[in-house]
Amino acid sequence: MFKVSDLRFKYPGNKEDTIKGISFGFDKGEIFGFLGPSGMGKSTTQKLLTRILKNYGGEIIYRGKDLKSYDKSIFKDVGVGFEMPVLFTKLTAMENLKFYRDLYPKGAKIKPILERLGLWEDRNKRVAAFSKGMKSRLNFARALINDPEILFLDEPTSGLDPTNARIVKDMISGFRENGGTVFLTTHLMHDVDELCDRVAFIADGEIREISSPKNLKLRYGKREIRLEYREGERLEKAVFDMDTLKENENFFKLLRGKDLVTIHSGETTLDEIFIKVTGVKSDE
Amino acid sequence: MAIKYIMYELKKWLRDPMISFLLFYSLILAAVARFGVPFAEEKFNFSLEAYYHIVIAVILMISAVAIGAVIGFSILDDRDDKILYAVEVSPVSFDVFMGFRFAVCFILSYITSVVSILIVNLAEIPLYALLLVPVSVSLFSSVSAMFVNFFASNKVEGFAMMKASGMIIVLPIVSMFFTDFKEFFFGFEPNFWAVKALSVAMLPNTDFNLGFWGYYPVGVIFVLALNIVVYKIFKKKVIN
Repeated sequence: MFKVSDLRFKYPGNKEDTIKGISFGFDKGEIFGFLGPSGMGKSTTQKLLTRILKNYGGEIIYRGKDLKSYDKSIFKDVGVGFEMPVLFTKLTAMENLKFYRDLYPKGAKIKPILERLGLWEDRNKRVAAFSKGMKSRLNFARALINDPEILFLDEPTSGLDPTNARIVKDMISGFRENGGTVFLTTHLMHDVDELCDRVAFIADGEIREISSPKNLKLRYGKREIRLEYREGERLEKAVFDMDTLKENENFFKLLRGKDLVTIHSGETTLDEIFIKVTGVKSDE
Repeated sequence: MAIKYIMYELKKWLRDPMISFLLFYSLILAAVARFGVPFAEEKFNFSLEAYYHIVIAVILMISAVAIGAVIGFSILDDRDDKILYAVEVSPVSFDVFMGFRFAVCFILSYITSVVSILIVNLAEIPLYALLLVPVSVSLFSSVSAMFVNFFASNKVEGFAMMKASGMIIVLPIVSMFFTDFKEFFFGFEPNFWAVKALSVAMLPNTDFNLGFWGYYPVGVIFVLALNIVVYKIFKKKVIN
């Protein structure tokens, strides 16, 4: 659906490029995670893909054509959820969504979206009176208001409590199951692990890694099995190489003869990969 | 779509005490002039008849600046709320979005100007002048709205800018006291030409350098050109 080649971008007044020749692509029906520490080019890349920022170097191909060749009608199928709420604070939630829906030739039904996000009861409240979490949910609803085929989401669960974050993540998964495509920008590795088919890590304007979360975890993890077992009153640990496991008699002896407490593979977490790849701790 | 858009705008304006006051400011001022001027004339036994055209010109220009401020503040609110980002990623272009605003600005300013003149009702104004002069002056209201957004990033700064842009109406007023060639020193002020055309229409027995059709078209072309130039700068400033 999108193919990005050697994308470069420099903000006016900056000496260095913010985006330094990145290349990646994602397909229809995919949730593609774009991950990286704050200020390293995630949001800039989203702004380039959504044409908020122009004058870039390299090439962005959307549905087989240069992104620059499209007119504004391209946005009838595109939903964009910005990191900050983009809402009229003096209008109510309902007025906001109706205003935005009127900008598009087609639109989604407002009631089911607001009900799912737990905002239906507050639909006639002015947005100025909304909490941060409510604004964040309404911002997500706004991105869905044109019934898009592709969603660009920048930190969609930011400021949400676990229950509402769960609802938003379920809605994103549901969107993909119905054939939608998602470009997800975040630094919350838990969201990525749950949602993304593939991820790219960006740091200092360069892509450091692209793969599926599963592959990354296997690649960056250790091929080993760690056991914890009881030896009388003590808790003992043993580590076995996964590749030679089937011939390892000690492993089977422990399995048969000891009370096991835990068994873990050496698969790593996305958090650890994030730190390794970007050199920065994720803010989760 | 257009009706719905105006309704959303109207709701935003009426929910803001300062904007809703500005919306009716020139009408209130016109009502004050209607009763205040005859009252002052009677009280001080002094006729202001020779200056009625100036009173009307002041109210006309205040209408334009006040409605310009309504739109200017509304745009400032949208900038605060980051609405322009959402418009950027919609099928509606920035030019259409803003163009519609400035069209509303012009129409509202025109209606307010004509109604204000009718409320003041101090002197007879030929119909052609009553209908045409507000066109030129109302075209200035969008310039005023953009001017507020050039230098202000919030409404407090915007209010200061509105007052500054309001000061510009003083120059054409001063120019109304001149009828010789010296009046053209004020020709750089966009409303000079419109208020001079108003003066010609209201004072048929006074000698002016040009006739109504000498002043009026220059004013309209000047303000239209100013809108184009100022819009280009405004667009750069607001989008970035």
